Amino acid sequence: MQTRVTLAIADLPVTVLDDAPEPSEWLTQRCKEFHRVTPDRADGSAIAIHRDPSFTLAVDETVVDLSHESGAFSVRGVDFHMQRRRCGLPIEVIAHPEAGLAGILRWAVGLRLIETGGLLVHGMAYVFDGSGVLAAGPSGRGKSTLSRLIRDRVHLLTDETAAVRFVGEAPVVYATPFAGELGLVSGPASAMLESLLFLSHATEHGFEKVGAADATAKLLGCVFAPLAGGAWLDTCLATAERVARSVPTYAFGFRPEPDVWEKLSDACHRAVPSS
Amino acid sequence: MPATGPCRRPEVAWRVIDGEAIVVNPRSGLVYPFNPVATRCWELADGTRPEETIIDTIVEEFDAPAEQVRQDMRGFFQMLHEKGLIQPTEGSS
Repeated sequence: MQTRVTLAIADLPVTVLDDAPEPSEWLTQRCKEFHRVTPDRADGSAIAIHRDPSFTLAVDETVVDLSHESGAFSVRGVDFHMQRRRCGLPIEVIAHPEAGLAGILRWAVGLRLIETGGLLVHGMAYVFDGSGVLAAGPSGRGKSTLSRLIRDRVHLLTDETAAVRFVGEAPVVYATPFAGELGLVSGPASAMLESLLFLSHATEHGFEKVGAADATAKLLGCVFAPLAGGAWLDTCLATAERVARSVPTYAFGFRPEPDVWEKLSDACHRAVPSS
Repeated sequence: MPATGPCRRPEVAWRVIDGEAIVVNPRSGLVYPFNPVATRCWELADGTRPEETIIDTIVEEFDAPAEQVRQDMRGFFQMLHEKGLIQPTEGSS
């Protein structure tokens, strides 16, 4: 039995073919709102997953090789090995039968985003009054905490993983199905990105303007993709700078109290556009 | 032809943004933001200049106490070596 589902993540179609005996609950249920039925587009891609009971689990960290020509890549994770021989060909995956589909797809989507001028970012994102805000940060910086504190005030796109792409010259932030510990994701919603924040825990709420260079570096530190070399890395760097230059960027330290929303709404939705 | 001075590793990605370099080591995935002095130093580290020549240039171009700059620059080059951002060259530490 083979599962075939086409998803649109950040408006990028990806067709998943998985020969697992049982369809992935994550794919069929959690990702349901990301399913699409339209035919494959030219910018779409396919990912074919072959489940192999003899697959040897790796003990090392993920090994990535993106240094090839022609858009080829190889990613060896703990329980899967993904490769694409060149740009335009399907992504082929050999995976352990228990390998999680979300983990595999996150790599595929992250790489596809980079090569189409976007980024997959460790960050919570929300929409308020039509404006998108991306609050980025590696693990432990408060993405889940902030999501929990403001979820009733905003349209939360994601508590963990957001995508950013450009529509023309405008940056757009997208929900993705890759949820964090709260499991909070909207459907395939998006909004114009109006503010980019870099999260940290602090004893008092506070903003600090971040320059383009520092913002680029901070954003790169939050990108879900290997900063592993070659043209991929150059593209990633250029896109991070483009995002950082497109919107106001701030370091935002906060303490986990409900009044964080007052500070956030003041800074992101009133004061920032005039600064 | 071997480099005669500190030389950026070709696989290291970098980009100067508003006078500050963002340097990414693909081996470690770490990102290094450099200040303007370090950025100028990085730009000059193309393998054609000995370390002391680069330091002399920095001393000339930046209005700072010479001895302090020299000390800082030597430490900076040491860091670049340790982080694998430049390739070792003859005569460099």
